[in-house]
Amino acid sequence: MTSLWIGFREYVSPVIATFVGGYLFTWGFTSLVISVCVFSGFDFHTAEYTGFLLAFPVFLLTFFLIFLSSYRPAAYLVSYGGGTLMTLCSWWLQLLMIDTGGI
Amino acid sequence: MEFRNTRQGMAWLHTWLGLILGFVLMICFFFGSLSVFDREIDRWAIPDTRFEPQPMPSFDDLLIDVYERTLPDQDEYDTLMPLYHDEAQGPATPREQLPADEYWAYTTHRDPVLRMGIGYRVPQAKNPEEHNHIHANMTIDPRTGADIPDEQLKIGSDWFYPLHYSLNLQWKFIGYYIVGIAAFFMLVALVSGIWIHRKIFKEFFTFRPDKRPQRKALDMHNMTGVVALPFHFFFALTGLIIFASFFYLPVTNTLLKPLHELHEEIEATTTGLPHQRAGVAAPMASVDAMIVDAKKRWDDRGMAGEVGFLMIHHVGDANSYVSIYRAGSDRVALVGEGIHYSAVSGEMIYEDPEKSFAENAGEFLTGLHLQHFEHWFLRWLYVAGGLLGCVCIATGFIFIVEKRKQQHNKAGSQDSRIVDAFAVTVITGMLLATVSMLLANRLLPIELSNSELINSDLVNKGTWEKIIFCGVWALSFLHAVWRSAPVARAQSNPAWREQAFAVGAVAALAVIANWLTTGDNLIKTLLLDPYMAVAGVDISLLLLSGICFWAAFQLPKKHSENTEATQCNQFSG
Amino acid sequence: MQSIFWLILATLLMFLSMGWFALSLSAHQKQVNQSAIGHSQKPKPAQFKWVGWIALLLSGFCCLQADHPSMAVLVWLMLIACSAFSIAMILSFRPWWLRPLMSVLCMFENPANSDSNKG
Repeated sequence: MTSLWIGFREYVSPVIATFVGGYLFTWGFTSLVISVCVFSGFDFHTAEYTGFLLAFPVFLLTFFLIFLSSYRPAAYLVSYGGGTLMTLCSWWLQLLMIDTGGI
Repeated sequence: MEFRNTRQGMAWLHTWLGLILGFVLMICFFFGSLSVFDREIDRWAIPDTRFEPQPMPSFDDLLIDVYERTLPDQDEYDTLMPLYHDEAQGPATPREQLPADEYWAYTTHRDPVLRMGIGYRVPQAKNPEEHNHIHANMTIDPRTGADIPDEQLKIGSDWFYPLHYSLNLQWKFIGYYIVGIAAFFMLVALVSGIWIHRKIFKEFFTFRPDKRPQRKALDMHNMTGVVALPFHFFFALTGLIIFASFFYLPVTNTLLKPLHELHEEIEATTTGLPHQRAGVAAPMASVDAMIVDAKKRWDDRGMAGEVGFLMIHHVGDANSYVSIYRAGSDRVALVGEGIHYSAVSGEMIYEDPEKSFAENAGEFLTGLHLQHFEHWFLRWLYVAGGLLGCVCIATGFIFIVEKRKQQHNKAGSQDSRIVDAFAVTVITGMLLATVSMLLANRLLPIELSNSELINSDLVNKGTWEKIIFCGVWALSFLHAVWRSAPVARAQSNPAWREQAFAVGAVAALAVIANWLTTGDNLIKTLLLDPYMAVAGVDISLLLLSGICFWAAFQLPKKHSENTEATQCNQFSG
Repeated sequence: MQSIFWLILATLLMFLSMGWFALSLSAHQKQVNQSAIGHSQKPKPAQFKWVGWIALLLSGFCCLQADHPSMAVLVWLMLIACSAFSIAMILSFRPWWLRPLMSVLCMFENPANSDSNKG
């Protein structure tokens, strides 16, 4: 049981944490790209396609950057924090657009 | 977890993620390859539908009758009606009286049969603003309008095809998520694989058949990974993009849903396509006349074509409109160039404008994966690409097993047995399940659902085929585990050889069974009365049979790593 | 019908291209040479690469003649994968089949050099 736990802690949990961190960052990035595009006057579907086309390469890059970083806690902070911040920004932009009806 | 350098980290990722998710990827690649010819496999499996592909039939003369005689799906009605209907407003509308809200019909240049569907609305809904639809899906013979019964499973398009993106695990859409995670880690494995190997160009042509199994497997793994690298990368990526908005990154359906809805409302006012029903009943104009007009408009734009997809929104209402989309058989991008007409007056309301660069790029990428185009040569090249992917993953497993079993033999460990058994299951076991399903399809009687022995309409022929598929696959795993003892002694698992023989035999039997039950043999389908869909499946099965028999004879009955290494040394010496 | 002609030509050129690219690598050149009857006159790797690139681009041109550019690029990429795999299999099991590819380039070598080598 102990060796299983060590295996999980040493190997499985960093991969999961990296994956989740990368995903969260990508989620924030994609939502921000879409809302910024719409805010800048692009059509909603154009914005959506732009977001999805960029999303997975960004996810891949973020995953590798976190996994291979020399000090992983900092990478977690940037990805989790950055993802949350971008999500909040896109939410705020959305509220702004809906309030003004300006899309 | 600390790595000495980046390369070591990449190697760790590549090995372990490949080992864990490679099994899923193998299923995706193999059944994805079969999906390239899903419609042709359907023809093979349902002999009643072995006739030439048909264009979209007349709506006014034929389709409308089919729509009007169809009822909502009983299971869906039983499940969804209690969820959608508001009891406070009165008793639920009976199934037979649910009003239709939308009609659709879809065909491609490869379809003799026509797929159609109806979305019924729930009159007294709890949330009238929501999309409260109960559906009916049907397949008809477009020449006569006759129903193609559902007991006959479309093995290609309703089993192999969804298997490659959902593993046919529908509970909470878990299969989609597993495949999505596997696809992402496929991208990770490709990047890390390139990082590890580096000498990409040198490995383009390198396969040394006279080396030890471990080295041979690695050569083949590198080579098949490298030569089809763009294929592997873009298919994993586009698979993720296709489902991004539904499952993998549903940003616009969750976080940005208010913005999405606002956009739809604004779009409805600018395009003139009503977002909601008016609530006033109105008759429908001739849809055939709209189709003639749409074809003329496509022709004027220099892209003459047939109708691929037809949809009627808000059926029977004053706000009803008809959307007609062109079949994209001459382009990589999906069906498009939609033209929309008022269903009441028959006048054109809106023509889809030119798409932006991002939309075109997105449609190209999803279109290259979904393959609506008419290009048989490219289809076969795709099959080859998919099979190269399978070889790449399979040889990855074999390499890991070969590498570990020596170490495990010395350490007295049994761990490599389980990996080997899984490898057998997803390579020969998967082939065996596939060909067994096809053989069962030809042997099981069509009247199975009425049999007194079974006495249940739920267990029809299609269900039995699925049971056989899953059962054979599970048995192949048990067989591989049962025969895996030699792996712990650094020898080969005899299950490889035995299952290869079984695949060879069952594949050949499936071809014979097709001949005996339908009269369609290769002489007929190739020469006398050519029908390439069936001939293609038969030839592929015979080819598979030949390869499996050849492989089975190549595999040693009793394989010892040490003896083989000695032999290799003697040859090289 | 015309597009079939262009596709066959594209496949053939891609196959030749991959063959020449393989021969530009010394290990594969050795594999082919071992079965040759004394091809002492060997073209340089750079020459193989040049003709390989030319055949590769010509194959792309043929794909463009056969199909819409969006489709042609897919055919071209998939042809690279399948031809490279076929060449690798030939190199492993029947390397002497690639001797004509080497001979074609030898023909364009200086004939005087070839004669002196024979002597």
